[in-house]
Amino acid sequence: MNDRDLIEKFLNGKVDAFNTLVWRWQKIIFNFVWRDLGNRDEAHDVTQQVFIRVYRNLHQLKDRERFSTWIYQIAANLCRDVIKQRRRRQILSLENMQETGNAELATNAAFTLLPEDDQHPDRIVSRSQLRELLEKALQEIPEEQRVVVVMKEYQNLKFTEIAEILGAPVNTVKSRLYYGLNALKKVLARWEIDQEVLSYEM
Amino acid sequence: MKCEDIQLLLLDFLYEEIAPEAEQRLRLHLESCPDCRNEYESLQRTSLALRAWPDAEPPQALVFVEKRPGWQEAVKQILFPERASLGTRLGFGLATAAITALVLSAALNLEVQYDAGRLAYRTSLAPRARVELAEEIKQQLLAEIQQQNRELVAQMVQAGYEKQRSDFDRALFSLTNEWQRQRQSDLIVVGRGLEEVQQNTDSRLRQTNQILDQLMRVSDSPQK
Repeated sequence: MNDRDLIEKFLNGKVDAFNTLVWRWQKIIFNFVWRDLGNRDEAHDVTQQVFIRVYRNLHQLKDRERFSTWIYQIAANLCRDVIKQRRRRQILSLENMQETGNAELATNAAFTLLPEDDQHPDRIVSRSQLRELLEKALQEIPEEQRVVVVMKEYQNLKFTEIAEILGAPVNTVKSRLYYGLNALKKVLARWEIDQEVLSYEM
Repeated sequence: MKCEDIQLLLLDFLYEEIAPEAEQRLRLHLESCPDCRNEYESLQRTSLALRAWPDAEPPQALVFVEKRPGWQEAVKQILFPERASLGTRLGFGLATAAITALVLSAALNLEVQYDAGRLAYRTSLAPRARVELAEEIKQQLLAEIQQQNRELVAQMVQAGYEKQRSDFDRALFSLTNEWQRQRQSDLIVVGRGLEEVQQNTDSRLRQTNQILDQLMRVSDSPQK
């Protein structure tokens, strides 16, 4: 049963159908939100909010074929709200620290995550350590680039789909992706993380 | 093809969204242009590096239930099916969908599968095959069941506390009693073997499935 049929069943009163929809989408949305926010617990909360919003507003969705676009929009908007709130909580001085603070944190993280013995070519790091690295690295690039990187690299959405979700022209999307990937490359280089390590582990 | 035109095409190429004839032109250009080639390889390396973050399961499965009159009774049936006559003062101030969803998924220890249009439920405590369990494993299972209840109780009590402070102690007392009684029955169930747990859980879950059809609408908004 496709999304459209599930939606129709739900709007006709079958909660079961909605739970099927949730089941189908919650892993996708959770991982998207996690990568955009860089925090697993926050992602869990925001994911719930996404589905609550879907639950309450599904009857307003005009084009049921475009459920995917719609739910991603909700998720992306909620993430943006969280990030705005984060910024508001920071005082100006803290904000300045944030830039270097994160980098320091990350460099320290890099040194604790990777073994001391830098001479050894086969550095053994756990998968969760690699994931943590990427989690932090992604937070170092601007949100509008990050969201495109996540949508393309992890959610495997097409450029046209991403453009529709974000309400931006396709070329803008590509351009943000381009800058995002380059920015990430610089972050990883700054932290002296060999990108080889990351791709080797896969 | 000029290098300035290349940028966006490189992305099309990297993500396999490029038209065949554009691909041809691009490949030709890359053959003769080391700068663009480096640019491409750089993008590719970063893209590959990102793969070290695979998808993870969300920490808890979300379940939505609908609130109707008598929903508290229905939820009690799910949580304590042998004790349907639990005192009504449960301190159940479950105001939000999020809390309810969490409570239920914790209570049911749900592992939900989507299978040909139906939701199928399975608890991770009761595998399908019949297995003889060592005593220590039985104890471990029992401890897990208790842990589930403990967390659930904590959440319910917390929610109840916020809404009905005057009833807090009464709720806690009756819940503790209930939990003790529950524990006794679980002990017996586990002792008889895993198949029995499976049967009990299945019937509990079948009930849940039915109840899900008639249950609480978890929405404090006036919208439908």
